[in-house]
Amino acid sequence: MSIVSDMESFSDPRQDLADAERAAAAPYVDYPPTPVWYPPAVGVWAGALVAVMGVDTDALRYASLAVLIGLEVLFIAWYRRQRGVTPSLRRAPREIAREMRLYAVWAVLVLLAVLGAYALNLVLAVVTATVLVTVGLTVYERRYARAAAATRTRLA
Amino acid sequence: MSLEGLDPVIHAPKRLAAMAVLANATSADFGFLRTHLDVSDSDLSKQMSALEKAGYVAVTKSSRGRGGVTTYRITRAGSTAYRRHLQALRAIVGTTTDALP
Repeated sequence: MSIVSDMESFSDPRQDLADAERAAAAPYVDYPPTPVWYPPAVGVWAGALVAVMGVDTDALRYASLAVLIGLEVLFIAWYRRQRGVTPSLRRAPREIAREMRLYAVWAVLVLLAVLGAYALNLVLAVVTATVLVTVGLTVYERRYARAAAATRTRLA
Repeated sequence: MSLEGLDPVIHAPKRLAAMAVLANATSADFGFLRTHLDVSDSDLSKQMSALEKAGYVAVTKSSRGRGGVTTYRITRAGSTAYRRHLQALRAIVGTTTDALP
């Protein structure tokens, strides 16, 4: 969306504030479509992270962790390039801030569920992490898209 | 209408929009700003050079892919100037709320 009024030399302060608000929301609401493989890929990554915790050999465990962290770093770098902007987590529009808070609560619940499952059985913990992270991210992406649309409509 | 407090560097609408984007992002690249400000390459370069010259944005150039990527981030001075400019605009329109960016 275009976020600049046409007047360059002098402009209405109210228009300036409205333009600034639209521009401030741009890092959050203007983004390329999230790939369909993203939630399951992160789910598998989370499951692998839990599985690595069950590896007995220290060297193998640390090597596996390094590979997983390396994959995460590569993904973040790729995604930042795709998006072209890295939004601040502190000043999201209210519609999106609400979704971020819900996601944070969900993440804590997933962590507790995985820890509980881990106490019972490693395989159960791996499956729990994979499924809950995949489902959580799928729902979050849909809700985020709706929140972004609502923000765009409010600021239009 | 008092113009006291308005920053002449930020007051131009395109530069205000660029500052608003950067104040809400840890960084933004040239392509993102060009698309979202709906300006040409040369116009954006000119606007961002003015902000850089004022010390309001920092520029990083990397040789990533074809032609490289130019990335901008707001500086501490830029963040302060942007907040003051918004306060001045709000004062002019008689708005005291912080709900605006």
